[in-house]
Amino acid sequence: MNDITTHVPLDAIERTVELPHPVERVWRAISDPAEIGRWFPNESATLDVRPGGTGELVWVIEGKEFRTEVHVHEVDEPRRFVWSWGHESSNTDDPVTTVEFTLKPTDAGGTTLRVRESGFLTEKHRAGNHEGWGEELAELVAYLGDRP
Amino acid sequence: MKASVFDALADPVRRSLLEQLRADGPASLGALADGRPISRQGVTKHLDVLAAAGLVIVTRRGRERIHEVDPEPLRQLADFLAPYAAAWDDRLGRLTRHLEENP
Repeated sequence: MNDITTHVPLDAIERTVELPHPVERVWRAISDPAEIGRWFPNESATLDVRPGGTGELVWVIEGKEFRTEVHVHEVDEPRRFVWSWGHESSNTDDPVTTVEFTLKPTDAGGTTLRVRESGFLTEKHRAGNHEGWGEELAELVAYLGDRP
Repeated sequence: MKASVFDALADPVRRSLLEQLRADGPASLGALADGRPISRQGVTKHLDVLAAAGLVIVTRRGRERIHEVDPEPLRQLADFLAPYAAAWDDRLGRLTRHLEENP
């Protein structure tokens, strides 16, 4: 994907993609659960698109079902959409992170879509739970523990 | 000591100091405290936490302490984030195709 640019600011991931479609169309694709289910999870998506609303994304991978609960934080149609996932009821080991979509119209009538996912290191740490972060993080902790 | 990297990165001031060191290279306390709404002593405390976590290396040059980023823990952090980043590349690729097929 040579039209996706990358930036990794410490504990966040950022991706920006240029789309030829107007912001209203892109907004629908990222917020309407019927559309989300076409490109995001491979099984199903439900989402109550308003602040405080919840939803669920479901994947089936090699016959096993993975669910993650989504909590909606901000809805500013068609510019900004913020939610978090990985909450307690989810059956994945992923940390609770916040996903922020930002849409900007381009001069050509298209959309610059930025996705930022953040909070990988802080949330579960603050809850005093270091488990479930995966081997990579365990290795990082071991590496830092070895340092003089 | 073991978990100190998480404490170090959990604080926005320390993340900002680390970002500045990454962007601008090695810097003295004065350069790092400049333009911040907290005291030099406050900045020193944050830098001490970053140093204790192994994220920042401190060397002395005369009377000055020079701070620089140790890239290794950050490289490990980037490795940890890599699969999450790859998942977004995959999703945005599928979003792009979904929009192409359903304009």
